[in-house]
Parts: sequence; structure tokens; C-alpha cells
Amino acid sequence: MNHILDKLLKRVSERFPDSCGVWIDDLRLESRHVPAGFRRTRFLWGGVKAAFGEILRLTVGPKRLGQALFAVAGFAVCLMLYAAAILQEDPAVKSALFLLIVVYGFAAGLAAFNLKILKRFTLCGSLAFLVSWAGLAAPTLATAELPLAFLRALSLEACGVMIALFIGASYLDWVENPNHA
Amino acid sequence: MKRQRQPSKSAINLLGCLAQARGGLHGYALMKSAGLASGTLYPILKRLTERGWLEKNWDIQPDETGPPRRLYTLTPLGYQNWERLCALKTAETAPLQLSGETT
Repeated sequence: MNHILDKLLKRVSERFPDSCGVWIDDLRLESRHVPAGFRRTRFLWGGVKAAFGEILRLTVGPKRLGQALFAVAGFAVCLMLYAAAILQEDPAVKSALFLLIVVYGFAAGLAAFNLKILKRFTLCGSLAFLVSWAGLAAPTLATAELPLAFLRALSLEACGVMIALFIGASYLDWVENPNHA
Repeated sequence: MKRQRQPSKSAINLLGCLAQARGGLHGYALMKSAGLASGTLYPILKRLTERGWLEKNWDIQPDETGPPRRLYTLTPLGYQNWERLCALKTAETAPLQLSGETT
């Protein structure tokens, strides 16, 4: 096990540009002085985790990594909503959930590729959901056979998600921007 | 111009361990005395060495088995900065202690 971890660290250190991987070589040398067994494994494993983190930071960067995580989280929410939507029998609830899948899916796609458009989209989206939340309280709808309480709650929740996405997109757009450094 | 971050709590702790040790410490000894994981310790050591706060030298002892290892020592600049950071930390906690005494 220790031998494998050591080989892995050696491979990783070769991938680092210039002197960035020197600390990995130091760690590998020091590991030979750590008592063999579990302690040495833990020592090497800590190095492997840190080295992979460093590689991600250097090659991908916090901005791209954040965008990728955002997109993955967005698509995961879409999958969850789809699983919930297909089980619904009420057509109004079903169509509301499918609409949310489209909105969140589009936002997740934008998170991966264009943060500037995502910011505009989420700002408009949050306003639209806020308007729908207010609109669903209209007295004319009171007689309609709709699950109004559910739809209002869903609108408010979607508005919150849009605001959170806007804040996240603004932050990611700010990260790595040399003008803010 | 490259931005320099304020050292983390772990880094200050590490500097403290090195300041107390005479003649420097090896990575594993530092890891144990500072209570840090190896994956946290080595990137910090790298950053502090780049700043010139630490100095690392090869430690080759003929009686010892195994390959040579690095010995980390605090530079005068590192010691100066550690003292400054400690003074800052004390200044930050002092008003809290005073307010605790009055209530």
C-alpha cells in the first residue's frame, strides 16, 4: 500500500510545473523516516490528497472548478425534480416541476459555459418567480382548481434558488478577475 | 504584483513550534508538534519557505538509516514575523478580555 502511494506521489510530482512539486519529493523522503505501517500510510495518504488538490488548483483553477461544481449540482437537482415529477398525478404540479427542470437545467448549462448570461438569467428568473408568487395570490385564482399553496411555495423556493445562483455566479465571475485582485 | 495572504492559524502555530525548537525540526516531528496532517503541513512549509520565513537544509546523518531528509529552521525574518503575528493576536484578544472583566 505504502509503495503504491509513494509511486503515485512520484507520478503526481512529475506533473507539477517547475519547482511546485518539490514539497512532494520532500514529503516522500520524510516518509521513509516515519514508522512503517499505518502511520506511514496516513502520512503518504495526506500527501496524495493535498497533491491532487494542488493539481486541480493549478490546472483547472478555482473559477472553472466552481463552475463545474455548480453545473453538476444544477443537473443533480434537475434529476431529482424529474424523479419527483414523473410520480405526480396532478397536471398543474407536474407541469410546474417540468418547468423548473427546464429553468434549472438551463441555469446549470449557463453555469458551465457563461457566467455573465447566468447572472442576467438568474436576476430575471428571480423577479419572474417573485411576480408569479405574488400573482398566485390574486383573488381571481381563488376559485380555480389549482394547488395554490404548493405553487406559491414552489415559486418562492425557485426565487430563492435563483438569488443564490446569482450570488454564486457573481462570486465566481469575481474570482480570478485581475481587476479585483 | 503578487498578493500576499495573511498566514493561517496553522501556519502561525507551525512558526511557533519552530521558534521554540532549537536547531530546527524535521517534517514528521513538526507534524506531531503542530498537530497538522502531512497534506496540510507540506504546502504551508513550501509557502513559508518561498516567503523567506523558513530555511530548509539537507540533513544527512551518517549513523541514521534511510535517505537524507529536510531540516526546517526559522530564519530571522520568519522569527520577526512570528513575533509580529503573536503581538497582533494578543492585541485582537485584549479588548475581548477587558470587556469580559467589566461585565
